[in-house]
Amino acid sequence: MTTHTLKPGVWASLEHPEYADPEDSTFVAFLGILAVMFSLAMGVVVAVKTGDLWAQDAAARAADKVRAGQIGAIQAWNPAVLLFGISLLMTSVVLVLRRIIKTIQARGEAMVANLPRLISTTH
Amino acid sequence: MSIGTLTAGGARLQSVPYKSDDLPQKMAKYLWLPMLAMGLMAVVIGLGAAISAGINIGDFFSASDAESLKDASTTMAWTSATIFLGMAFILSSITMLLVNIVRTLRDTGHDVQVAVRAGEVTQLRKPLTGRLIPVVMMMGLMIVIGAFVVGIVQADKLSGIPAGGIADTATLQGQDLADYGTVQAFDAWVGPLRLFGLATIFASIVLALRTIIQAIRFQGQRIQELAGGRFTPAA
Repeated sequence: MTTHTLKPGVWASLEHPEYADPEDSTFVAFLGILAVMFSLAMGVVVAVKTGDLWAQDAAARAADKVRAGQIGAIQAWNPAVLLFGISLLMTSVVLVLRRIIKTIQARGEAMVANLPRLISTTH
Repeated sequence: MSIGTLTAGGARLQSVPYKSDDLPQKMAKYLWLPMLAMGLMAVVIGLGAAISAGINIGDFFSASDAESLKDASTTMAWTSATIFLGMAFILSSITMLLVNIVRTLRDTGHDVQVAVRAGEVTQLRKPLTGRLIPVVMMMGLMIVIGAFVVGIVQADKLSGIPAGGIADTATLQGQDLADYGTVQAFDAWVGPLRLFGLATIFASIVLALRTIIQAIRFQGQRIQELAGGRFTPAA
């Protein structure tokens, strides 16, 4: 005999107030966008500092270790921050997909509970 | 074996008797979370290492410490490789969740058919896009893992070069010069290779989305078919 594959109670869990506000995925996406924007801003900072460095003559440029060090340091970690932000955005996609799966399960549960009765009424 | 064909707008969606998960679907069911966890871990480790490399570069410029520059160069070689590997794991996790959506659509379809006492409990015959998903995803993942190994090789070669040589490449000679040249040559193609690997995993996501469209269409057509009188309504 074929039995149902769905676990009961998914529909009820979707009626929980927490479900109405998908703040977990939104929050993670917000953090991701923040990291990407920060990386972009740091890119602009590096561009300005590099411009300043190269505006000097050769001797002054060679002596300007502070600015060269700042540029090198930012260039070392800035791409990692960008990729970290993108990874957070991808994680928010994962959270949204989990929510979609739960919604499909709830829809199935509702159909299983109501469709037979609905069809027998209309026939 | 195909037991029926549904038609809509000229397209033909084949149905087969309901069956449980095959191996790729079982893997998607159980592996999406470990993949996500490993991916996030790799990205966080990579970010931490990149910050450490930045500090080392600062030390080099402030104290002219060649060892710091060598440490930074070595770290940066495997940092990018690790972060891209993490991103590949996260993207694979997304592909697996999309496969889980297809699985959920199939299972809910099964339950609805059982509930309305359909004569035959059927599901969509796995389309070509569905069969290609695991192949394309694994291919992309393998490419990124290959690029990760290249990153480790780069880091290994850099660690064998004297610190003074990395600070002033004009002083490099013999095997050290050859190793440095190899690292630079790898740099030219390993970046595009990593992106190609991620793009391949993205292609598997597109395939999964196309499969979901087919599954949703099949459900609509199956309901139409059931409403056509080929079932016994519940009493």
